[in-house]
This record gives sequence, structure tokens and C-alpha cells, in this order.
Amino acid sequence: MEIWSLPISMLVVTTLLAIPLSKYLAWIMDGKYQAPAFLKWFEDRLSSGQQDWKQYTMSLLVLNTVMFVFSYVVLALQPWMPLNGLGRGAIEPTTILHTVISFITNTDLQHYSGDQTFSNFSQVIFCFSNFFLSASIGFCSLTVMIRLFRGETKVGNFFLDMWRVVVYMFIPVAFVFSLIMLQQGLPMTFQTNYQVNTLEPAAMGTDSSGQPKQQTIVVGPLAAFESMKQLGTNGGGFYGMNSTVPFENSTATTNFLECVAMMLFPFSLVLMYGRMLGRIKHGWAIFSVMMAMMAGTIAWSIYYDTLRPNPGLTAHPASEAYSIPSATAPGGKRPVTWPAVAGLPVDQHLGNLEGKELRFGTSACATFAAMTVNVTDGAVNCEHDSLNPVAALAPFAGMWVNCIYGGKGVGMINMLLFLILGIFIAGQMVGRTPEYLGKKIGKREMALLMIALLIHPIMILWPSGLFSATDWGLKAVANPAAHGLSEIVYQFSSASANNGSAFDGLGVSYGLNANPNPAPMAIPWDIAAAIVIVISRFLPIIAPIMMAASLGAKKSVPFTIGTLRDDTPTFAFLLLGTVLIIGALLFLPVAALGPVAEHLGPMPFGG
Amino acid sequence: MNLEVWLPGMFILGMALMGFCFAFLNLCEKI
Repeated sequence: MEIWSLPISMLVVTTLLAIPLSKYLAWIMDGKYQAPAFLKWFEDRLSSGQQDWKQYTMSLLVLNTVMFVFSYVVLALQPWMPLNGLGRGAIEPTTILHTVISFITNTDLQHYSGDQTFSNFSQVIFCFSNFFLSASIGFCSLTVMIRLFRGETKVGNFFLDMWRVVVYMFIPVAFVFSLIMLQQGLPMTFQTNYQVNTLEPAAMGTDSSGQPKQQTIVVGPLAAFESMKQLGTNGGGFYGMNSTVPFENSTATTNFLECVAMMLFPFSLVLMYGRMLGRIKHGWAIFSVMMAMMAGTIAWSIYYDTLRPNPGLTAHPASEAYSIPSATAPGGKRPVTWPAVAGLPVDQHLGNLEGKELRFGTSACATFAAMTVNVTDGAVNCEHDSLNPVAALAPFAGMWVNCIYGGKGVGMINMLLFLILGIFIAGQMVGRTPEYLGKKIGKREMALLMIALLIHPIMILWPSGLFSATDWGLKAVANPAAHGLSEIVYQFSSASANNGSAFDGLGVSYGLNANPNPAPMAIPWDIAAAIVIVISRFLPIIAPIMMAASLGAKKSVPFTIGTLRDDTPTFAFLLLGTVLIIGALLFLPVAALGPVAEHLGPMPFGG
Repeated sequence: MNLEVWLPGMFILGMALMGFCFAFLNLCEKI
């Protein structure tokens, strides 16, 4: 029972918090909050007046360009910046490109290990500033779409909206979460590291004077870092192992709060959408569809990972011999060495324990894995590469449909694309011109919608195919065959969904420029992932805003008996069906070739 | 990696990607 009570309690708590928060968000974004004089001073200087949709979108792109330049300079100058007690050197340029693109787009896919590569200056100035700003971009994008749907031609001011999101929403909530994280034991310091004697000095080896080596423990302002990492659905870890590290996730309480934090704003924004349109029942209908998919992916993940043993340990006796295809081995095949524990009577009743952080409970990994991809957070508290093959379909599905709450704002925008597409299909089926919010959906809206909708699968499947067929992918994967394909597809899915979680198992890290042993294919991966991230981030924001402008400018038609109601269970089922049939079926072939083939094939397929 | 070549090179690539987004905005308007 405790296996299920963990995710259920997280979802219930987040939903209960999201209801009042959504009211607050709608109140703020409708400009009803009257700021005190010292904050109003900033508002007056930031606001350059009302903008139309194009000026607003241009401002959004300009800010991102400025963020790119600023972030690139900060990382490029790392060796000369302060707070660099461990003397971190120059970062390799493609790693800088990928990392900067990743963080300004709220993706936070990391081809480096933060504690090994970054100084605390880079962590604070680069990561932390982008945590706030990138998280606000999607928020503003959804807000402008709402205003356009309401028929407004002047849609507010982008910079003023950014100010409202950061100062009136993120900072107060992040401050409260930071205090809780601090109380739970997360470090909050500008000291860069501690040198400590370990409990087993002999295990550390000896230095030139014959003394046992000390361990270097990297620390930083983690309580603040962690709260915004999760609240902004950023997910970029201070440490390479992200939320598995006790300094990023110290207790079962912080694990619970990290899950609530990452879901809080995505949940609230769906309800904010309904409130700002004056159609709260419509908001709840969309919310229920998202919740059904969220519950489904969590249940799937738990059922196939927490409640099933690790087939790599149970499927075959240790005496069995296998050879598997390998691009790098002589003769194209290499023998499989079974784990030392294979065939031993290992207790499997707690499910698949490989790659798990058991401090949080047995179902915490499967729960976190499903949640973190659904809301495009990307933090991890276990190794996704070690999920049972078919259990990995849950995180894959979350990234592929990319609208199970999704990132702040952009997840809701993706759901609106499916929603309008569903209404369009339903309208065609009954021979009636489809309408949304009383506006007739026409050719232009559908063209823009399809551009936005198809970019995501194209940006996952095309590069996955290219890398699967070339040394760029074949020499980067740790496992051949189906599992290797999963590693490649996961990387591009995570990049395109602006998610940022990593399957791991891929050699994509270069890190510091002086790294004597970088991953051989790090450079093509850095560049390809950066291109995918940018295209999949901004094009599906620009096209829907344009679609909303086009739709919002139309005259409203009166509600009649023949109008499709958008707040009923029938509508919710229509929306769910559209997402599952169109969103998920696009990826069925690659799912069959990856996780499903691995599940059905000999275990472990890839060795 | 030669920083003098690759550092500005990757910066230009990043700016080109952002430039593509501006171009897309203007291109899409013609639909």
C-alpha cells in the first residue's frame, strides 16, 4: 500500500496547493495586483507600453538572445571568475554551446557534471539566473495566448510580465521552499568545498608523503539552488547525479517536496488558464485529462519497475554464454559477462533495485521518473537507464506527448494544440465547422498548429535515425541493440521535449577543455542536441502564439445547441483520445524497436 | 580543442540558431 500512497499523496497535495495558487497567478497576470511604490518604480521602467502579439514575441526572442550572450560569456570566462576555489579551468566550447542553449530554454540537459566542471560562480550566476528567467518564458507565452483568445489585440508588455512572474510568483514561493530545504539539511554556503578524512582512509590511497588522501566534497548554495531547480521545472543538477545526492535531496521529506515543487506551477497554470478565460470548468476538464495521463504513467512505471524483478538478474543462470553485436568489438561481436550476482538467490520482492536510491522508498524512483518527465523537469533521483525496459516507456511517453502538464506554460500550449486538433477532427466528423471559444478554426490556424505539432516528432525521430546509423551514435552508446537505441532516442526526446533528464549510458561528456579523456562523440552530440533544443523550444512557442492571434481576431459566433461543449466528460475523452492516438502513435514504431523489443527479447538484450 | 577557433565558432552557431527563430517568426506570418 505504501508503494501507491507515495505518488497519490504527492498528487493530492500538489492539486490542493495548485487551486489557491492558480487564483493568485490569474490575479497577478491580469494586472490586478498593485505593487508597493519601490516595486512599482521597477515596473514603470520595465514596461515600454502595450505590445501587439508580434512585438511581444519579438521581445521574448530578444531576451533569449541576450540571455544566450550573457550565459556564454559567463561560462567562457569561468577560469577568471571568483568563487572558483577548486580552480576549474576553461570549459570546452561545444559543451558551453550545448549547456547555454539547454539552460536558456529551460531544458537543462547536462553533458557535463556540475560538481566536476563548474565553479560556484558558474553555478550561481549562470544556472541560477537561468532557472528564474527561462522558467518565466513559457509562463509568459501561455499568458499571451490567453489574452489573444480573449480577443485582445494589445496583449500587455513582455518585460512587465516577466517581472511579475519572477518577482511576484517565483521568488516568494522559492524563498519558502528554500527555508524548508535548509531546515532539512541542504547546504547553503559560498564555500566551494570541504577536505575531509574518510571513515576508511585506506580506500582513498596515499599521497606523496604516504598519508591517506583526503576526499574533496563540493558544496555550494544548494538550498536556494534546489528549490528553484524544482519550482521552475529546470532540473539541472548542481551535482552530476542530481537529486540522488544527499546534498541535493537529503531526506524522504525533501524528496516529497521536490516532487510537489516540480508539479506545482504546471498544475496551477492549467487552472489559471481556465480562470483567466472565465471558464474554470473548461480548465478542470483539461486538468482531469492531464491527471489521468499522469496517474497512468506513474502506475505503469511502478507496476513494471517497483513490482517486477530486474530481469537481468533473474532471466538466465550465470553459466549461460552469450555473444552480442557490437560496433566496436573485433569481429562485430563481444561476449556478455553476466553480473556476479546472476543466478544467486537475490531477494527480488522489492522490485528492480538497480540504480535506485533506497533512502526514499522503493517506489520513489518510479514515481519521480514519471513525474519529472511529465512536467519536463528533468531532475532524477535514480538511474533511468536502469529502469526495467518496459517501465522506461513511462518516461518516454511523457516526453513524446509532452503535454502531461508539461513545462510551465509550454505544456499547456502543447495541450491546446491537441485540443484544437481534436475539436477540428470532431467537427469534420459531424460536418460542422469546428469552433474553439466561439471562434471558427480555419485553414491558417490548422497550418500553424500542424507546424507546431510536427516539429517535436521530427526533431526526435530524424536525428535519432541519423545517430543510430552512424558512428556518432554507435560509438557513444554503452549498450548495443535495443537498449542502445533507447539511449539515443531518449537523448533526443529529452532535448526536443525541453525536458533535460538523461537516460545515461551515452558517452556525450567533454566537460573541461583540458579533459584528457573526453567521450569520443561528445562534439556531434553537443551540437546536434543544441540544434534540436532551440528548434523544439521556440518554434512551438511562436507558431501557437500566431495561431492564437489569428483565432482571437475572428468574430465570435453564438453558442448553439450544436456547439461542442468544452467542459464535459465527453470532451475530456475526446481530448484524451486525440493525445493518445495522434501524439503517442507517432512514436509507436520506435517504442517497438527500443523498450518493447528489449522487454520481449533475451535479457539483458544489450549485455 | 583550440579555444581561439572553437569559442567564437560556437558563439556564432548559437547566434545563428537564435537568428533562425527570428526568421521563422517573420516567415510564419506569411502563412
